[in-house]
Amino acid sequence: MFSIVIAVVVYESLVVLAYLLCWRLVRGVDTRLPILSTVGGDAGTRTGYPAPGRAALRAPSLAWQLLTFLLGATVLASVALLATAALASLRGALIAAEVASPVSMDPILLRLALPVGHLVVLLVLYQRLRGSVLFPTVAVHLFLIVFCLLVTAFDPERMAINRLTLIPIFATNLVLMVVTHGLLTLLFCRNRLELLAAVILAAIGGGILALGTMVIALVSMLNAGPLFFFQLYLVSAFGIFGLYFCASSIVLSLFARD
Amino acid sequence: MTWLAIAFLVAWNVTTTLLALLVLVRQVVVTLLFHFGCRAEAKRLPDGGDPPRVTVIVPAHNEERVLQGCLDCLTRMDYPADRYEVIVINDRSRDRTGAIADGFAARYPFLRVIHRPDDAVPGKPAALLDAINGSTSEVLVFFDADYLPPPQIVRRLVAPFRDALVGATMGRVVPYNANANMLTKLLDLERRGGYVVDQEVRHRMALLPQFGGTTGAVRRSALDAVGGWNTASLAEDTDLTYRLFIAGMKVAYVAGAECYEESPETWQVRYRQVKRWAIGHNDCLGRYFFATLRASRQPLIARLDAALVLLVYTVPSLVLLNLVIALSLPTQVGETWASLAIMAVSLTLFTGIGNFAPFYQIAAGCVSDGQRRAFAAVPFLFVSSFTSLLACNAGVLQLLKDRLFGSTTQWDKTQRFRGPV
Repeated sequence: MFSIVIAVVVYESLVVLAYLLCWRLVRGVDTRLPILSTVGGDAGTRTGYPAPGRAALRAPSLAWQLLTFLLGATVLASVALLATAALASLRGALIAAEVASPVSMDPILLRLALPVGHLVVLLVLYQRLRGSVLFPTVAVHLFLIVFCLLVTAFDPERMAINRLTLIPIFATNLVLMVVTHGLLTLLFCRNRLELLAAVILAAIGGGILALGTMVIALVSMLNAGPLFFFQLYLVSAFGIFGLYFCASSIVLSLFARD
Repeated sequence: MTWLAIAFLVAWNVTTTLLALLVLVRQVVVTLLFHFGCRAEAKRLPDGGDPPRVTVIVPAHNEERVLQGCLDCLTRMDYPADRYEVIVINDRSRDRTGAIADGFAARYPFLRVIHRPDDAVPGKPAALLDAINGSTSEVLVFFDADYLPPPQIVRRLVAPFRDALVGATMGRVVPYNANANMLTKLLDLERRGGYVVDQEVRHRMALLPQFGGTTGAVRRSALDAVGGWNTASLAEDTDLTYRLFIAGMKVAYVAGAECYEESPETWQVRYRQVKRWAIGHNDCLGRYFFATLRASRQPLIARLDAALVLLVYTVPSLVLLNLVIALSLPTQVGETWASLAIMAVSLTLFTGIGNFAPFYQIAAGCVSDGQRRAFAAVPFLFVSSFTSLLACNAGVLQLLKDRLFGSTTQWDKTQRFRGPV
């Protein structure tokens, strides 16, 4: 199982790097909003109409909305399915390497590898991001480590690995990502160039989804019960959707002009 | 674990999951309405006579860093001078707050200062009550001391009172320190979602926009009609919002009344702020949830929406508790289809409530503001939502402790960050 742990940790380190890269790009973006502050000529007290807010969302035609949504959904789903199939051989190779590997690890150490690894990554991020923002997640990981040790000590059967079908997890994440990407595309995408960017982002999203699902599959061979499901949440939230949002942020901060 | 206990846990999980799901769906529907719904033309207000007499109230407790900026703005207000006054409440300050306010009072006859003695009841709500009692104006406008109100804002906040049913109005708050650090960028995003989309849709759909206690105005007669200012609540703004609603009155959101504020710049300050809001808001939930549903003078849809909004600081606790139960179920009953289904729903809700629904709302707000690049900070809201989750849960536990032991949590002043005086 050693190479699987390494693969998962490499993936999660890449996620952390993506977050740090994203933050380096985002922190320089000026997001201050000039307030509406015209003097006089005031609506409401003078014209009888309440003061209006900012410009309304400019909705494009229905045909354009349908095109952008369907194109994004098709590309995202296609890439996700194709990449999942392509990554299956990599997963197989990793598992085969496990069988052939002369290195064997204690199962308790294996169970602890990921929560402890996360804790180390979180503590590094805690320093980098200068604040208590990650405190709750640090606390949750400490809890999980203690929980894992206790269950292993008193009821090891509970931690036995069962073979799980990953299709519902993949399907749920795929639907959520198609909806997320589709709605954001409808909001942001207004011309052909932006449509091209949205399609590229959809392809990246599909790739991320396939990679994330493979990592979940690998994790399911290491952990069971609550540990696996917590890992599932972390990979889904940060490793799939977080990474997708990082990609969209990088695209936005590099190309969007308001 | 007995089957009875497991049945109870499953029943609890399903019930609270449905409740949380309603809140999640509401937030998505509100954004869909904002995104796809028609923007109705602004309704013409009834013709009125002279603008009403207005008192602007500024509570100040150790605000020497920020008070001057706020008072400078208030001396440049575009409102008839004979109908305008400013009251600064120097609330037991230990710094130069009182002296700064007195300096302005000496120069501007429409500005006066109330100095609260050291033995006065502590807390912002009590200080505000002193100012309300010290004024006779028909309309009371509120700004915190760190706010920088632009010249036309009072006119804009007052305008909707031509509608006799409007009891309070609320403007939009914009952080001026959005670029300071990651937290202020994230708070800026949260503000965009909350004000630009949620408040706007609530106003447009004749639901219940929130009176936020600052950058807002209250009609004195409406305040008196619902029993006056509640100094016992940590969320006196939410408290007033719901009392007005239950009495059949309206709160108007004025999108064009924008005002700068200072956002918290450290996570500790933010944590304390959210915890205080959670305590106050959940206190209102206990008092007004069923009364809101029974408010027969309001449309049914407005009652349902207002009741759901009351749950926003409770849902994080429910969702977290559900997640813990869901994570423990497979170890208790095995990985059956039922336990896995509950787990899947709980995880999806956790992601949905924490992430998807607010992200979509924020995206719509950024696009509406014409600042699409501001949305780029959105991945970091994952970490922000953890802090809010913790603060909400701490608030719920604190409220339960207060109820159990009969104690009360004191008002916690928000720290300021503007440069040294």
